[in-house]
Amino acid sequence: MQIYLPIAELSANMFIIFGMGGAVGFLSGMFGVGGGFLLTPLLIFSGIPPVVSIATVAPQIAAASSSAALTYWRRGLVDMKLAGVMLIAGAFGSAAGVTTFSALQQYGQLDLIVSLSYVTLLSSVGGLMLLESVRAIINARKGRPATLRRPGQHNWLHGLPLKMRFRKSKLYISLIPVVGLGAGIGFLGSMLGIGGGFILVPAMIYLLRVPTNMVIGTSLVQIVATMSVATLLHSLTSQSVDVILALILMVGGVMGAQFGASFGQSVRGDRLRALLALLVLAVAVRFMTGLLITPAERYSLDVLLWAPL
Amino acid sequence: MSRVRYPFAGLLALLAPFAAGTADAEDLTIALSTEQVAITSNFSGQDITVFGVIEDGRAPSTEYDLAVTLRGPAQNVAVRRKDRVVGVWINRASETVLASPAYYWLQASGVLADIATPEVQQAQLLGIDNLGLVFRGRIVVNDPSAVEFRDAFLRLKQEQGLYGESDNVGFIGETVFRTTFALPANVPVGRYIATVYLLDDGELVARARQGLDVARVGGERVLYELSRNQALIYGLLTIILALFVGWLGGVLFRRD
Repeated sequence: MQIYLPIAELSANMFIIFGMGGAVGFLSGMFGVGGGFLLTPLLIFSGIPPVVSIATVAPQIAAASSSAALTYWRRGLVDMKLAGVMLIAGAFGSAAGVTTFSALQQYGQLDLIVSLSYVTLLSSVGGLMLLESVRAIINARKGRPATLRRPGQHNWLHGLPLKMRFRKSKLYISLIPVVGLGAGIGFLGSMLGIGGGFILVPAMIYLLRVPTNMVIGTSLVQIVATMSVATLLHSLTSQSVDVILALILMVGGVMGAQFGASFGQSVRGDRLRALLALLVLAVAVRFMTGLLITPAERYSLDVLLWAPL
Repeated sequence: MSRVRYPFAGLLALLAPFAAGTADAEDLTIALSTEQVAITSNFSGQDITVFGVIEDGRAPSTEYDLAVTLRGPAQNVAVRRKDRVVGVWINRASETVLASPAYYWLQASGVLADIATPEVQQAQLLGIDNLGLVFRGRIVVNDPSAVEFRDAFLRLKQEQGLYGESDNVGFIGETVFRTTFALPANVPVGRYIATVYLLDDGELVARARQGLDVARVGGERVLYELSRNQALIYGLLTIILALFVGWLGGVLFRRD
């Protein structure tokens, strides 16, 4: 069934969009990630303009993360003070991201920067994840126990000034890495259409040394808040948030996530991470080929503004 | 010369919107199958049929030639070209086409070169090669240094189904003709003008035009206008919707 998307200004097949939302939701439920880094490329590759894809994925991620965030919050597994500091920084980062986004769009370089960023981000994160999971699989085969870095240990980041106490996470750390992380995720999220959980969670564990029981809930709250801010800012500046497209993706995503979560529980953690790493690398390769292969059509059209006849 | 025979053609053309469907000469009357194309949530393109009657009986109507154009609202369009820089294809050179029609399609009763003289084609902007595209910062129409961008522009517009030429003007009986334009799903909104050119021996004999509106209606219109005029409210509503769907999903599929 064709449906006309009012902001994208094109007619798309509703079931295909719903299916994409569902498939990404399934994977995100299975792997416990937001799925923006898969959904945004999928929308772009299927012909939705990159501007609309990126702006519209923001509310989709907010929706996909909010039910889980609520669950963690009810169980008291959210450090609201930490999330609060990060989301204030995230709002500023998001504003910077949206501004950069608009400037790049104006100069016709948005697609390039988005592709380059995806290649860099996904290949490095995917590579690290693959390495880590393969090591874990080998260790498991040889019967060695997994080497977990213990939270609470100090690293160089704890020597920085401007310290603040986060009671719930049992942390007394400098605000600099917290603010930097929040702002960075906000910037990348608004510019690239990703929630950033796959960067945020490891960064919170390994850099900030947030206890693992607090990490998921706190990062989810941070993602919901940052993506809500990104939705608002995109609505105000690029005006490319397509609410109809977002709604179809949300419903598909929320449903898919349920099936994905139950399926994910039946697969071993290290194998799951290896699969996710391969998926991330595949998306990176797809973007890279787009940049390197001689395009079939070198020219493109970009409607600038409406003028009276 | 048509200009001599019809000195008020230009004036009448200006008046055309106030007298929809009337011709600038007595012998041509046209009508459209619809004057409003409504873009609704299930819009997937629409056919627009132009009917016309040649009332003058000087010669059998079928001996005239006809060209019918449908022209969309004016747009400024950036045409960008990718070039290879350090192995990566990026947008480098670009030209901006000013006030080009968002949609332009020509239906003729024969090959354009056979039915209209080059002078008539140029004066009436007949055919996609005679649109007189103007590039920003380039004074001359069809500036040679912008030719590759003009060609790319026309090619891409044709690939998108927004520009084209074909020859399916058909006569129904002696004096009535009709032709159909298929507006694609990606048709831009705005004011469209259908123009019928009655040609004899390559010269313009009569011309008639009529406008139609392509507009969003209903929910599509409400959402679009909200997003443009009340962006803050639109954004807040989208956030509320997102949080509601997320919350609802959590309630419906509760696992804890």
